[in-house]
Amino acid sequence: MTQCHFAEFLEEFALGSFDADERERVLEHIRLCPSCAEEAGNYLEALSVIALDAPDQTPPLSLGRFIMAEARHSIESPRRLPRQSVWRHWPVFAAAAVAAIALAWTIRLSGELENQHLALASLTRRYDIIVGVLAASEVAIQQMSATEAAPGAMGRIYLDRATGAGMLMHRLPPLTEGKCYQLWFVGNGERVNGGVLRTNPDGSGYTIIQSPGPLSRYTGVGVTQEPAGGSPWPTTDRLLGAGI
Amino acid sequence: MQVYRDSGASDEILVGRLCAKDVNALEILYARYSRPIYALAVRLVGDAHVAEDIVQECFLKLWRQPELYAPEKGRVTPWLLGMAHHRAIDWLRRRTIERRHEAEGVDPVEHSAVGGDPESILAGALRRDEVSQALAKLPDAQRVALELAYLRGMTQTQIADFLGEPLGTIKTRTRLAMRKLRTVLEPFALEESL
Repeated sequence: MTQCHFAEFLEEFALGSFDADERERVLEHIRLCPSCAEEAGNYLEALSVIALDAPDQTPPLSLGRFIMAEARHSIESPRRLPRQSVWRHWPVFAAAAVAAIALAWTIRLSGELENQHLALASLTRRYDIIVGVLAASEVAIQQMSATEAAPGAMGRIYLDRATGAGMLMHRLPPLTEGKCYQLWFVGNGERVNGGVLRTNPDGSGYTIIQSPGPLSRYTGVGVTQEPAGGSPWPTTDRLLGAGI
Repeated sequence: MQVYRDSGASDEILVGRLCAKDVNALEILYARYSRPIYALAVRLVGDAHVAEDIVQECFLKLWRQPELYAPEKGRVTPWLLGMAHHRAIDWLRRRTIERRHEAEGVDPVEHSAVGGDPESILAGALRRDEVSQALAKLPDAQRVALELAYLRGMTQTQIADFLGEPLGTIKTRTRLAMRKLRTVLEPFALEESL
């Protein structure tokens, strides 16, 4: 067990109790203190039990492709950090203070740039998927019909028949607290979860979707309202539907 | 994605190869750990798109700053899971604040379907059985305190308020729970099951 005074913070650090700034201070310390690094690693190891208890989920193939493309791209055109000035002719203490401020500012700026870059990368990935669907040679576009349960609701689905990737645009009634809209793929008398829809407060929105397994298994799609987070099977009447 | 070959190199060696900008090493690490990281993120944030962003941030961070990982921090898996957990908790807290500001607003939630080949799904199910058994061995009070902190992103002060218990009691419970988990983990050889 480490005797470092930081040790008392490591448990809460591993649990995620700290905000980003506090966490960064702990991380800075961990980089310099092997005993705290080992202790923090032990806590993270223990907590990985809870992490690994999560139900199995597979990220979409497009995510891996995008990350590797980003990695390759960064080799071809590495980002450059701004150069720092050197204040050679100032008194030593003033120079040290200014350099410290400049360094802190550079680190902060670098962090912000990193966050903006990641957000942009995420948006780019989504647009890449949408463009891929719209440009697919076997794209199917279907207008979804509203049922009596949601008169006036509208939906249009775009599906790449080759990959099962697609996009659903919709305008549905505003959701009530604790509810969500969920897509179902219909085939052989079964309804298979197609994901929960991204919905704005007014009920409109668009969602990138992926058919669970080959699209040829399914003959239609439907949308229902379910408890927030989604349901393993439909629990309410269909609001929108279409053949595919 | 290009075809890659998992040479069986250890995670630590692969992270070392990232310092030399070896994309193949990143592909192998992604193939090994993207699923548990994604599953954890989906469980925490309940939104497939946000979960994808978290996976993306973790692996790109690892790619850009592999030197942040040091072997004395333990195995790569818990370190990556910890990074994903922290990012998910940050997102949950931001969302809580946003929801306070948008009392009548409804935030988007989205899930993706479960997928993958049958063998890895079965392996994942077996692994979850093991870790579920490990969690089940904890006394209820300890497990609840730990799950509220880890899965809900609550601080220990918030947990104390929520459960109506003294802060010191909550701190003791979470500390004991984590120590007990470390003990029961040893026979499970988690690295192999991943």
